[in-house]
Amino acid sequence: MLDLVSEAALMLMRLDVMLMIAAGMCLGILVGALPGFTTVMAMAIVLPISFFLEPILGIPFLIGVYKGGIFGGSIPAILVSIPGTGAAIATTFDGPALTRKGQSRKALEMALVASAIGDFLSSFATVAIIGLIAMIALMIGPPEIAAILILSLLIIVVTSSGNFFKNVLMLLIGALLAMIGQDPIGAMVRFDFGFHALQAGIDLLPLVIGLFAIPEILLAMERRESAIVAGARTRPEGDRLRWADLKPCMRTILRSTALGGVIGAIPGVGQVVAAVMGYSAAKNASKHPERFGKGELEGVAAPEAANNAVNGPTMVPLLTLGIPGDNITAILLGAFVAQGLRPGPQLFQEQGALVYAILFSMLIACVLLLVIGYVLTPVFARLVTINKAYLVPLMLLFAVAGTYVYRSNPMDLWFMIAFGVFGYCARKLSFDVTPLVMSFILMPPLEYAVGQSILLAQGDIFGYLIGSRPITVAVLLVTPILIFWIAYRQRQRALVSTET
Amino acid sequence: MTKEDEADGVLGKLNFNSGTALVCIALGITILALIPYQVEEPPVFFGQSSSGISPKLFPRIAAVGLIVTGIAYLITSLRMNEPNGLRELPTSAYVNLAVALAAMIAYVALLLPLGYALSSALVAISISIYYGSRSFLGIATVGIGAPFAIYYLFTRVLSVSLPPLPWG
Amino acid sequence: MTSIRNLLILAAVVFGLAATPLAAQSYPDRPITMIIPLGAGGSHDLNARVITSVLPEYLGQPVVVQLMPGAGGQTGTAAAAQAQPDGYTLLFTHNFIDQLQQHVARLPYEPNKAFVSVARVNTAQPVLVVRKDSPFKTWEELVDFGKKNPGKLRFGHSGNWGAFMVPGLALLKEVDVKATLIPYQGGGPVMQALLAGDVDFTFAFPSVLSGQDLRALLIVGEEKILEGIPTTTELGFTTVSEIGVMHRPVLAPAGTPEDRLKVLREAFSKLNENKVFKELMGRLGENTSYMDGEKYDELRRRQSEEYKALVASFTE
Repeated sequence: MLDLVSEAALMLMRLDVMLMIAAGMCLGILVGALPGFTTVMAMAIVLPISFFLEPILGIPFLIGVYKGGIFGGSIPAILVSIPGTGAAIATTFDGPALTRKGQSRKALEMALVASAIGDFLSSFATVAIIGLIAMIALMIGPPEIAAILILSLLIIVVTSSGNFFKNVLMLLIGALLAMIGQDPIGAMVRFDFGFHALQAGIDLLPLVIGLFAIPEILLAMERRESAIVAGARTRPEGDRLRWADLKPCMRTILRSTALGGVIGAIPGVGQVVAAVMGYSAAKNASKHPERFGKGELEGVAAPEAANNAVNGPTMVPLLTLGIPGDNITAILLGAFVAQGLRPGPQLFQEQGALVYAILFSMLIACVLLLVIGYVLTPVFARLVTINKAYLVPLMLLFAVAGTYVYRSNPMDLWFMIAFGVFGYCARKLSFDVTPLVMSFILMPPLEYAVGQSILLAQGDIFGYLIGSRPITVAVLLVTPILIFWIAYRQRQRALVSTET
Repeated sequence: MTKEDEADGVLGKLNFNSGTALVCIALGITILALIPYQVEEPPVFFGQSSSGISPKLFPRIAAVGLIVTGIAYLITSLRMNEPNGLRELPTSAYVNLAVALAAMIAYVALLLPLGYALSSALVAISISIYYGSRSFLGIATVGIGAPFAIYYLFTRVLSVSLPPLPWG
Repeated sequence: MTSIRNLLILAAVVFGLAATPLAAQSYPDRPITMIIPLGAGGSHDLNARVITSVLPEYLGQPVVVQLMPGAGGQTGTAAAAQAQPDGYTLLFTHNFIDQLQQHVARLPYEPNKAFVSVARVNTAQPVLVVRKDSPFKTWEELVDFGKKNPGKLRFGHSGNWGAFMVPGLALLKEVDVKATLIPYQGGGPVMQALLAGDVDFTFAFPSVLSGQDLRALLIVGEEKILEGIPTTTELGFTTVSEIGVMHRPVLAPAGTPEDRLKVLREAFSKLNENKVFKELMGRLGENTSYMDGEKYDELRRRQSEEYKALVASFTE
């Protein structure tokens, strides 16, 4: 195996490989920073380019686009509260607040460093224990996914700020919104009230842009101040990130990496959930949870590390079984196949060096991300110096463009406005919309998994679970224990803070 | 305390949270009632439903959840003291917000008839002027340059579609 | 040096994609939109990327992919039906969305009246597969077990009315076997379920099959794409052969002017002869089983009748 590794390393030691990864990365960052442009779309567009290149150039290029895209999505999330990709939703909790405090550069650089570390460590782990991850991936079926999703939803409700019932309310509203349109299993239309336009349901992007970006625009328009950053400063973007800022966040970054890595190994959960769970976990573990949401650097580090840590394990089903776990890996599969390669057990045997080279290119991409990102962030950070009279319309232009390109459906734009008003009111009335968004995302897969599980059980649910699905049973048993523990800790902290 | 004082106490504690809770409960009941009309059943193959669970199940659970949560929320709302952010806004804010909303609605309404570039230009220029910008260069860049630049970037380079100008 | 050559190719392709061609014909004089009513990363998306990288050679204008997933394919299709029939909007879909769904859902248009075919780009024949260590070594053994144990066989498919469920149901009906149908979200997840042992059998397209270590039991369709495995035609299931194969046609809204339709049809016909196109399709594992628009329109009408009968027979 050692000779495979050294052969792989040699394949990578070429200037054009490095340049391709770098080029892909720049492209990814730029496209990811455009709201509405999902990483999938960016990769699908450049996919044909990879057809004409050697595998060692084409595939790392796509991987560069992929990783760049995830980081790129954080840039507008931090600067103007518009998540460039779904994964950056949790970054909008603390990012814009930091920008308003005049620390946009620190926030961007923290996102960069956290992303790079999370990605690197999880890619490293993937390379090291790829066989183990593949085995685990095969054991995760619909019942496991259902149990894990239930656990995630409960954790999110319990760790969101504010009144418990208000959070449950948000969760239920998110669930009901997700149920408009076709049901995930049978595609039977629900709640369309006769409108054909509603049959496609509500999409995530208008919801997110509406709930997070539009209220920012409305808040900005409340007062006609011209600067986003309060108070006059010579350098409104603030200083660079220093080690003193980074060190206290390292624990959070490592925790988020672990969380993200585990979530990445589970098919169907995804980056958004990883980011939010990372954020919730950091908030729960912190000594000052009330600072989260008001501009806390840790609140940027946590989701960023988590959503990048998902990347490594997501590649595992693709590389070991040839089965893409999500749309992004499906495009990578297309790239492989177009090169005449068949990812799967055969590829490991026949072209092991190439597979390892591709895995290593993931690691190199992380390093390059740090370098390229470090050069680009000061440029982006200065964007907030633009007069609000111009920045607000620009935000609106991008919000609308981003929402429209996804499905070319004007209904999406109306929803965006409606959710914008809703999000604005929610902020004013102390509602945390995170449970709404999370339940909106997780409810369809949950319903699907439950439906599948019942079919798989062929009539005997309990017998099936206990007999053939030990992991599900374990998760279901752990769930109430974990939830009570988290709620208990919060209670304790609330009591302490009222006493002091 | 007399009975009237007690009753006063409860009513006095009603706040926007209570109102929201009531809306919830009403919403939950409405949805439960609507489900049979708004949710179809899937076709049946070989005498067995093609889905493991009925598409009515989850909506029912959510609607019942709304009612139950609403009731609990209503009860706790009496003890809640949260500030009502909407009431605290100055009147000027209401005007600004109304303008912002009107601009957004006009934008979406004009998007398909006028195309992305034109409608964006109109909205961007209006907002910039409303904000008090008087710089011709600034308004031109954001109001004309940006919409067309975004349009060309998205449609020509990135190969995705935005509504075109009315003359194609 | 190959690395410099590669970089030059990259630069050329990027500029080629971004620049608007100089040749000015009367039609087309601006980019054409190709709507795909399915999600990103699927086989239509991948096929479309190959098509749109070579087709502009013959049309002189770029072809822009517009993904419009939703409602099982109906969101995008309805949008295409309402588009201007001026030859600047096309629909790249498959036969199940096109001809079958009208019999299971109320649609706001009539497929054969709303669309006219430009060309069928290719077809894909699903193959029935089980795990390598499955107790079923032949198709007959599977059917035998199914007859003796109604409801016990677990058939995983890629989604309701999708490319696996339709041939699967049709087959089960032909041999009078009751199985439990378990839906998955696409070909990838169902393959994983098969490997994990959650389901007993499913289908796969040849491009997927060659990368896995599975046992093939039956080929849907006429052509014997694999050695030693029976086809549904051989076994006498002619209806299954006809309706079970996935066709990937490009359609245009009805009312598109004849001359523009002709330009499009000719372009696709030439595309099919193009060497690079064939090579790329081959690498994707897809065939280039082209059929011209007029013939495919006839086929669509026949398919509609067959699917109508099929759905009726399933849901009794």
